Amino acid sequence: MWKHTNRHKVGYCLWLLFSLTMICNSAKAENYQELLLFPSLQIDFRNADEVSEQAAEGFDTDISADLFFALSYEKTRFLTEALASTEEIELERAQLGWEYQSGHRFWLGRFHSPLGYWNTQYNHSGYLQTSIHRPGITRFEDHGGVLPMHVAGLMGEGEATLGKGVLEYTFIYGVGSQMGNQELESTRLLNLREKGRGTNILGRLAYRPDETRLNQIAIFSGYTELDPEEGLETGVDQTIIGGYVVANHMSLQVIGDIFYVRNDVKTPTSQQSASFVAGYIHGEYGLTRSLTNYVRYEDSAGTTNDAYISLFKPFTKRALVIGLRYDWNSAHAFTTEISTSQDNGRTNTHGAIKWSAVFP
Amino acid sequence: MIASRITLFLFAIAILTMPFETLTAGEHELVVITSAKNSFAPIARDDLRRLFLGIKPKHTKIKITPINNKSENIMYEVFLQKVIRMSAVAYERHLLSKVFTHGTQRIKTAEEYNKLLKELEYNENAISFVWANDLKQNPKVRVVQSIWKGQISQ
Repeated sequence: MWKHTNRHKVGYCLWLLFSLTMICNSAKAENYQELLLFPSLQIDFRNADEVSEQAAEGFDTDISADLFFALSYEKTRFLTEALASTEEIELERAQLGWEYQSGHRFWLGRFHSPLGYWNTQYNHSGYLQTSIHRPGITRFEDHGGVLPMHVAGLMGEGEATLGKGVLEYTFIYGVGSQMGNQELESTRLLNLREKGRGTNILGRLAYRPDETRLNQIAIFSGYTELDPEEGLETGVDQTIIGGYVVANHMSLQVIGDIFYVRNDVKTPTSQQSASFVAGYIHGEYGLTRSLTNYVRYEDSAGTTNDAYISLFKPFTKRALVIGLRYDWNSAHAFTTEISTSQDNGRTNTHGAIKWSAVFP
Repeated sequence: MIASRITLFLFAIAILTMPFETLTAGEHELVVITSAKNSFAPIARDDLRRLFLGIKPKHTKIKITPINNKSENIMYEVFLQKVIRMSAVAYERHLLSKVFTHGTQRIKTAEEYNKLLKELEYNENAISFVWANDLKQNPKVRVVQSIWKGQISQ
């Protein structure tokens, strides 16, 4: 445990040193570096209905800072993101890339999984996403998520003009999460040599009919081997297929995302297959220049008594989320949100308020 | 209960802090400017939009650096309406998303007019936008093209 902790500290220090070195050495006009800090303060209020036997009531506070750094030097790219919060300190992304042709890049490192729209668009930046909470199906591994949101390995991505529009592609080959005790254990760059990291093959194709607008339609697919953590026996081979649509008109934006997930759950003595469908539709509308309200409906089918879902802490089967966000000075946002959700027969009512910002 | 009270509180803050900016009523012209050292031709409207969205232009071959001018709210709003066709919040979050997702370069922003002029001088082939009336025959900048001309009522 001591060695494990020390290795992470050394890793973070090396990352910080490398980033600062790159800042100092980047001198040419066409080369650049970007540094963004996304701090946030979030307070969650929870209330479970009276029929629940395991009601968890109360509130908790999370303070976090997401630090993002990107560097471009000739055709080389470097990108990294680290999160420090009251719950954890983690290197979320670290990518070294090469732009071999304008608009086409290879990367090596740890990335956001391209499954769905939400993960690559927002990931850990609370300021960039309008709502406080992510849709349940896109939850992070260490927050009860049932899909791998981080992968380490090789990524190819790029865009190609298609008439007036653009086709964007992402392909990843690497290693991903493990099956832990009631949650996925996401892969970490410094732990890649650990045994039990299964293969992940993921891909996404997105088409934007007008390159200057945000409207798009996409399909994605993935195969992930969730091998059991040391000391555990249950592993899962997971196949994911899905798609999403993003539509914008004037002040209205609608995001719809759907996932079909098939799981082969394996133990030393048995194997069973199960599948479920989950998705959400998220709409937001700019009431004024500064005020945006939003509503999101999440639903799923086939999750009751599902052999894979039952391995996790309660999974949100259905949820309705509404909220209001106030943007101030193009750098600060204050958001309030109420949601009601159902998981495994329990109904939860949940409130939250959040301040998020971006510097500089 | 607590969440709804907080919502009402935030709404009140929003109403009370809405910017009230004064601008002289009358005709105004929004123009694209660059350093007087640059001699490139007017930029296609679509390319202008692409440049300020961080997308490679289709018709303009030379490398142009866009700089957002946020020294005046109403001017910035007119620019967003006539060229970008997005709200300020949507536009700025979109630009941030591009940086955050792909590690692309953030479009520079000048918060003051004098700083804008310095940025135009030091960045090769940089462009920005201002009210034509604010130029006051400045020999260091030249007008590339007009974006919009119209009345702004107070």
